[in-house]
Formats: sequence, structure tokens, C-alpha cells
Amino acid sequence: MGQEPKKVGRRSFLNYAIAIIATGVIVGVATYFAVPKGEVTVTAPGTTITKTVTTTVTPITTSTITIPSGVKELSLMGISAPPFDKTKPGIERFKNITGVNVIVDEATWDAYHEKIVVSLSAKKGIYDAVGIPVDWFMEFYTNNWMSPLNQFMEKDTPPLDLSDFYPVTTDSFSYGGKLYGIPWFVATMIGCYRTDLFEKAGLKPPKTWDEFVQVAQKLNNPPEVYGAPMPGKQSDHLTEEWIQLLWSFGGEFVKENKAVFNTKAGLDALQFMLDLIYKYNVTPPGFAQYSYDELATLFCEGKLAMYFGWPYTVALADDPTRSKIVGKWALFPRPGVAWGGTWAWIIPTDSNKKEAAYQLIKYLGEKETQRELALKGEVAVRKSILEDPVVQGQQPALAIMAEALRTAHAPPILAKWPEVSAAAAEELSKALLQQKSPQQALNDMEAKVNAILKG
Amino acid sequence: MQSLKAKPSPSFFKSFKLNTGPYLWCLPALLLVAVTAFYPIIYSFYLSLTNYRFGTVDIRIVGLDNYVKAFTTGDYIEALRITLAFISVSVLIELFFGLGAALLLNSIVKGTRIVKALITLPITITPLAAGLMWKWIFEPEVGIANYVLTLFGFSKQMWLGIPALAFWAIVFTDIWRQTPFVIIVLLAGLSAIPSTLYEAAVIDGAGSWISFRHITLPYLRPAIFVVLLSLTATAFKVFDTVYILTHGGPASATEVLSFLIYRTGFKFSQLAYASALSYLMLIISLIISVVYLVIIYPREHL
Repeated sequence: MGQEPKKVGRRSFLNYAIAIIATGVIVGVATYFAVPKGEVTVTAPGTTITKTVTTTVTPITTSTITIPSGVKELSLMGISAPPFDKTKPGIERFKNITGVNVIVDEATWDAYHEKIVVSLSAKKGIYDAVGIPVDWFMEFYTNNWMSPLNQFMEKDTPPLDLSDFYPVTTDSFSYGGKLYGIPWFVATMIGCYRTDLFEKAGLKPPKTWDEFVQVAQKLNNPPEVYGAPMPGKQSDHLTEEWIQLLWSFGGEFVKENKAVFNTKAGLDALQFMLDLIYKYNVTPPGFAQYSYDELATLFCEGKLAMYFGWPYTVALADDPTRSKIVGKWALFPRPGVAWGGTWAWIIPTDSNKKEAAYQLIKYLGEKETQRELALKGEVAVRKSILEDPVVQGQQPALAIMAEALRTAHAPPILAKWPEVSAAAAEELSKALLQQKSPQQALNDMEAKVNAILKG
Repeated sequence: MQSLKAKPSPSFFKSFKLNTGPYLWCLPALLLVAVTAFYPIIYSFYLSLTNYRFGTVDIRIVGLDNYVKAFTTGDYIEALRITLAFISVSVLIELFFGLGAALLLNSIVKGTRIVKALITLPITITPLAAGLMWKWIFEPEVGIANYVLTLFGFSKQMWLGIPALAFWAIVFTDIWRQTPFVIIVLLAGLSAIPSTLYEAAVIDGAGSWISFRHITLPYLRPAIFVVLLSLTATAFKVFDTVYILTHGGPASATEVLSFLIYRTGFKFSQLAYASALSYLMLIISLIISVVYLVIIYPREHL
């Protein structure tokens, strides 16, 4: 390869340089204009939305909001999901009332935890309010990422009436006698059933797990339709399904930072799942590749007689573009004990506008905003709203949600919940695929969970 | 001739000036790489020696604890085993099919452009979108894969629900995505072989196998090297397919290294441990590339 490298003359070298710089400038300018700068601000006209609400229900007067002087802007992070979309008009109203600009940032569930945790670790005061699920409470508490709200509540007039919130919601965000979040909405596990199939067979939605098995067996007609759902995919949903059964059979998951599920209740719960799959044969054969999300699609395709899911997955079944069963299904409370996952607004410790942020999240917990959420079908956290006949009249599903909420359990509050959940899902997945006996899986799960809690 | 030990000759300055030029021009790019790559790489090595999790206030140096942990807990070894199995299977199949298709395409005369355009389609699809597409294809009840199977009288398969099948489903998706790249690169390599060599071989009475063995393969060696290195690198860091199709399941049968590291770092917040795992991954990939360099890369290019 004795070729001499071609010499670049001074002139052409200059030309190259100019070309490169010019390209850089063009690309830079282009991206500056093409990429939306920073966070997206919500532009929904707040006033018109207020009007539509007030025409249908009796208006609730807004409480006086006092914003400390000098605060012009707040930044708020929410999840890209229907509950947040339905909260945005409330945020708009807050902006109109107070004149404080609220910058709204959002992310989908997959990226939500990562984005928030990275922002809070940076301690730069990026967010003044963040909506989080109870699953993360202990993690945020241990890392000192949430400010206790009591200091603001004491100074505030009129104070927030906490007795109107469902106990499961405020309990989920209280620790050591302090409240850390203002409840926002609840994701209760809820059942769906196919009204057409049930009517044809003369059946009623099941109230107990025994009834559930009987109904599932009667309606099971593969490959047209399967009796029962089974979120057997190795994911958080698998852990959640099993823990709800564990509660239903009288067990507990973790107590005083130790695994207490390796009992008869734990074994019964796992055996129940195995029986649904292998003994009663009522679950779809592809159970091991479904989470609640994929099962929702299957339910929408008309392949499931019953389905359990979150309010947001359930909502898909009413969308004619995605669902073949519009008008052919209804809700029922999940038998046994359901998972009541509260979401709440917290104020990060690194925020430097905490008092104004408190006013914002308090406003989002007010009856007015909560009522708006409920009227749009979300599970509000206030008793007076969710059990209001007017609200239930417009959203009949909420009556069932309210019923489920009364018996719902708050999920295990653990700092290392993501890790614990993943370890449990792995062992459960092995048991469901019959790679391990149920007892062996529980033993291994106990060892792993205890190791994680200790380490 | 006293000027010998006097001030350096002007030519010295000249050469010095000439030499700084390229470095100066490279500087912005180097700075960018330094900030976005070198610094994180060094910092993550530091992290791998600490106990850092997201939110940890008292960061302590724990030495090689994280590395020891990687080899004492079964997860890492298992993920490594799955990753190596995935690399060897997918790379071999992709190379085999890619080479075959390239030879075939090289021999046809008409319509090569259209065929080339068609086979590059998978490359143009975003990995995430392709993953979602395959998720639907592998859906047991309403997916196309099972529909086709039932057309031929086979029973439905739970593609992503059975550990062994899920592994092959991931391999298959990777083959679908990577083989076109192999074909394109090898086709370019093939077109560079002078046809006179083949003509000479025919005159000498060589059969097609002999000319393939002694002309095509040696000439393709650089191209094959590039392809192998790139395929292995891509297979080694396979993530999006696993993330979308199986999330590491069922029964952790598809939990490859990159997914394990993602889970450890971002789901479990154990950044220190995840950094240690990444460093181990880096060492393993270095070993693999050195092996490739020694075995396949033509000596004269070294």
C-alpha cells in the first residue's frame, strides 16, 4: 500500500472548513427551530372547560389561593395517561386564577420512573410537583426526595379537609405521622365481563373466587373465547396478580421488612393460578406472554369472557377503533381483595417554590378538580365526590369502583419494591411454566426477597 | 557551520505548525467525544467501585465488591450464557444466509436494483417499531405467525411464552433485521473482485467450489471481517427486541446482558452495580474483538 496520501491544498482545505462550519450552523439553526424548546405548555383554554363543568353540575367555589410573591412559574411532572389529561383543565384554571405559569412535563409509564429519579437525584429543583404512585413512596422517602406537607397545611387557611379522602389514599402517603402527598386518583384493579356471553349463559358476575372458577369454566369455549385472564408474562403485573390472590387467601406479603408470604395462603394463591391454567384449562394458552396490557387487547378482540385491569386499560374496550366488544361489556368488583394503588402529588425536597407548589397540588385535590376527574370517569379520591349520586349517575362505573375501593389494600410499601417485584415475577414465572414446584418457587422467592430487603 | 547549535531551523517551526493544524481541527469533535463518551466511561468506572444507588447521600468506595457480586450471584453468569448463545447462533445464521443471498444476487443480471431496495427495507424500519410489529406477529391468538402455522395444519405455538421458543423468536427477529446488512456489505465486496480472476480459473479448469474457496473467500475476507465485527457488536448489545417482545422473560430465558444492566441500573436504581456489570461487558466485548482481529483480519491490513 505504498500510495502517497493525497495532499490537501490550502485553498481546498479552506473550502472544506467553510463547508463544515456552514453545515454546522445550518444544522444548529434547523434543530433549534425544529425541536420544541424545553417543556410543552398546555394550551387548553381553561375558561371554556370551567363552563362545561358548571353547566352540568352545581359549581363548587374555589377556595382562596395565596401565592407567595415573586413566584411566576411552577413546573409539574405527570404521567402520560388519561388521569393526567383530565387534570390539565384544572391546571389551566389554576394558572388563570393565580397568574402563575405552570410548565407541564410528562412521560409515559415506561420512562416515568427513570425520568423522575434522574431529575430528583440531580437536586437542581427541576420539578416543583410530581405525581407518583404509592409503589414508589418508600423509595422516595428513604432518599429524602419528598417534603412533608404538614408545615404548609398548618399555615394554610382554609386548611385542606383530609377526612373527605378515602383512608387508603392518605394512609398510602403518610409516614411517621406526616403526610407527604395529596392524593390525586386511585388505580384500583377492576373486573370486566362480557355482558352478552353472561346473559346468554344466564350467569351473573362472580363475587368469590369459587364462583369465578365456575363461571370461567362455563364460558370457556376455546379457541373462540377463554374463560379467565392470566397475566403470566414475567412482569410487575404477575407479581401484582399473585399478591392480590395472596391477600384474598388471608396472607400478607411483607411485614417489618421481612417476607411473610411463604405460608399456606401464599401456596394456595400460587396453586390457584396453576389450577386455572392446567386443571380448569380456562386461561389462554399463551398466558406466559401476556401482561394486563396485552390481555386488554385480547379482551377487546373478544377472546376473553372476563378480564382484570386498571382503569386505563379497561377504557380501551370502549374505543370502537380498537375494540370489537363496544357495548358488550360491564365492570364488576374483583373478587377477594383488590390492589388499590393511590397516586398523589408530592413536592420534591429540591424545589425552591414549595409554598406555591403546595397551593397548586392542594388545588388539584380540591373538590372542584376532583369532581371534574370523576365526571370524566376517573376514580377520584374524595368520598363526597365518588359517592355523590349525581356523579355516579353520570359515571355508573364509579359506583363499582367505590365499592372496590372500600375493601382495597394498599400495595406493599418498600424502598426496593421494583427489585422485589422483579424477583417475585421471575420465580412466579418459573412456577407457572412448571420449571419449579410452587413450594420451591415460594422458598426461592422468600430467600431472594429477604436478601433484597436486607442488602 | 556554527549555526548547527543555534536556534532551531525555520523548518522545525514549519513542521510543528503543519502538525498542529489537524489536531486543532479535530479538537471540537474530540472535546465533544470527551464530554459525552470519555467522561461518562471514566466516571462509570469510578461508580462501579462505589455503593452508589440513585439518591445515596454517603457514597463509599467498596472496591471490587460489585465485580465479585456479579460472579457470585447467578444472574450475571446466566445472562452472559444467554447473550453468548444468542451471539453465536444469530451471527452464524445471519452470515450464512447473507453470504448465500449475496452470491445469488451477484449472479443474477436483471432486477438487482429492485431486489436490493426490497431487502434493505428491514434496515430502514426503526428497531422499536419493528419490535412492536413482531410482537403482533408472535401474538398466539390473533398473530400472523400462528395463522400461517394453522394454514399448514400445525398447532398454534406460544412464541414468546415458552422459554426455548422465546429465545428463537428473538434470534429470528434479529436475523430478519441484520441479514440485509450482511447482504449489502458482501455484495459490495463481491463486486470488487476482478472478473479476470474467475476467467483465469476457468481456463485452468477450476470448478465453482474451487474458485469460491480460492478467489471469492480470500477477497471477501475484509468484508466478512467488517460484517462479523458489526454483527457481533449489534448482537452483543441487543436490547430493544428483548425489551419489547419479552422483557427478559419467560422464566428469565431471554434476559441478555444489556437488559440485565438496564434493569439493574434504571429499574432497581443500583447504578454502581450496573456500572460494574457494564465494565465486565466491555472487557468481554474487547476479548471477542481481539479474537476476531487475530483470526479473521488479513495480516497485511494489520
